[in-house]
Amino acid sequence: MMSAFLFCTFLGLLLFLAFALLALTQFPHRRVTGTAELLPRRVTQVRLLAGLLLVVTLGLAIWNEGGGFGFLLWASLLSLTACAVAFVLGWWAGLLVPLARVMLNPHPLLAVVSLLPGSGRQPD
Amino acid sequence: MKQDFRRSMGWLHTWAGVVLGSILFAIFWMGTLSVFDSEIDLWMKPATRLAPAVSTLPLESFRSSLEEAISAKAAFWNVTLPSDRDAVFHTHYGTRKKTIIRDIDPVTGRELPDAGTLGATGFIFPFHYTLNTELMNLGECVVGLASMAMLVLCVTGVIIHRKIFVDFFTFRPRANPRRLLLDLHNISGVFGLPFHIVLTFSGLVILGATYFPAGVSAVYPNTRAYFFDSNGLSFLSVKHGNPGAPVVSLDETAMRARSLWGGDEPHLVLVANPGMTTSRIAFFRGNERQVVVDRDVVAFDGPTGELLSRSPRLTPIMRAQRFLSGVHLIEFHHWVLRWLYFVLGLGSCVLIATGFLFWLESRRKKQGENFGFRLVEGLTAGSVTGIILATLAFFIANRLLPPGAQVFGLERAALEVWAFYLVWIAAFLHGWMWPRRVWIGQSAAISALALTAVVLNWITTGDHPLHTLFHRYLWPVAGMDGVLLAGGALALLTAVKLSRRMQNGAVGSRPVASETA
Repeated sequence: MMSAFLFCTFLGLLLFLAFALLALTQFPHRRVTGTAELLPRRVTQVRLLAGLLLVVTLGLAIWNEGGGFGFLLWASLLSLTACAVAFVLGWWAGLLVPLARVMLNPHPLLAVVSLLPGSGRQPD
Repeated sequence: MKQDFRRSMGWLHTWAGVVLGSILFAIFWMGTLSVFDSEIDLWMKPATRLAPAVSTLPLESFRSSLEEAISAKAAFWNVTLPSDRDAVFHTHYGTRKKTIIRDIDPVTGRELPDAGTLGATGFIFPFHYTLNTELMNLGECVVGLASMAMLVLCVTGVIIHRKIFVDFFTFRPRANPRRLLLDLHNISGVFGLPFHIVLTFSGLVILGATYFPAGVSAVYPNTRAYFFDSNGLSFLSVKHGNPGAPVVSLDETAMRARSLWGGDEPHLVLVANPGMTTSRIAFFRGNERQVVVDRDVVAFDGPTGELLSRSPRLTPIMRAQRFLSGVHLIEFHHWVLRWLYFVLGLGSCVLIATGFLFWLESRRKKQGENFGFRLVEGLTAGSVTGIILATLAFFIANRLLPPGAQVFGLERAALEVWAFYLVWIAAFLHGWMWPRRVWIGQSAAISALALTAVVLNWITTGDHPLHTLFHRYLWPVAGMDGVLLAGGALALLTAVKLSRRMQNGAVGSRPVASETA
């Protein structure tokens, strides 16, 4: 039961990330997070990445839980995580500011690394 | 033209929602609770709160119960085996006059005291699809009509939502109440759309033969024949036979059923026509590890033990039907998915409730004094917070009524149901008579009743939330108490916020003549 719970949490986090990326390509939500609007090209890239994440999570769910349970789990989490993104944007938009900033960076992976604790510190 | 179409759909969405919203809320609320029907049963029947047995009792332990059914000339006898959701055995037999159900300790085999309740499986779940109205299948027909209306509401809702993609993640908690309600309605509607459509459609599929009997009557001589054939129970269509025939060993036949299933365990053992020369023993395989409800049934001749039949493999169409049934009935054991269903079910309730509230808020200023407005206002309170209060009253009556209680010839189980209906009616009356403070009053009442239910459970059984949390087999009780406490806290928060808002004059600014006079 615990492994199923952990797997679902992992799946939920990936789906949350996918929906958060989708939401942060929209102007009203970027304004709420206080970040600049994305260029159209970047919007397309981010939306493709989010779409890919959605497909990958479906594959992961079916691979781990089987066809029936996997699809049901994915579809249920899809609804809940999208709802969670809307609530976070409504109540605690500040939580998504780092992600919104990462999306602005021309090299998002490097930007993610720079956000990790201690990554910007010089050796003594 | 386009605008006219959208306006027409808007009209249909509004009025289908207002007219059938109350029934839809009752269906979805009871359906949501039915997700945890076995767990609610455990809460309502404290004697069944037992740790699971290490090894299950042999089926022959129930021979005396079977003999009792034979001497009572029962038409059938069955035993439900324990599972990870229900630790006890249940024996069940029915004569023409009555049905006898008993709960059996899985370790000692002794009969557990009768809880005197219908529980969730006997009241909440049937209410979900019959509205507790069995006269001429009226309840099922109303549920079918409401379900079709729900599908119409889903489609029209998408059509009238002008900015479905632009507003996809839009939720403005600090906006005015009307805007906030519409955002909540849109969020619960759009994000829960797959759930609303699939669950509603699968519900219609399950009861399809009731709503569309023409297909069944074209193929089968009667509905009984259809029922037997579609459920792999054709072995039951035999004549009554003569009495005095023995029933072979249940354990031996069970072993043969297991070997046919490759080691899978039966969930239910049925003896039809017990004690007659035509008796049949049937083993129903459990569906815990799959979504599809395939009802694999192995049947033996009762007096000889000869293998009679096994359900044929499902055709693709039947498999699709059984998959949809499985998606709706949730007979599988997957805890995470079960909780997700529960939360999504609550989301459906939020969708219906916010639809009602948005209708009220949109018309409060202009039509606040109209009879129609007042009617819908009371109807909304009774349908939304009223049914929640009624359900809590059902739980509280269960913990308060002494064993064997009888009032005016009504037995304990019937008294619990009466408590439900009386509180529900009172909530409607409250909504119609004192509409100004109805939401504050009923939210506060929900909070108080939820807390009372938890405390009463503690006092009457000794199972307080900390105790149940630290014993694995009591987790369903802990879950029930936890949901009651969380729901109670949320209701209290709602009552406090509404009360503050009313003091600030933001809500309920409409003076109600009957109250201000």
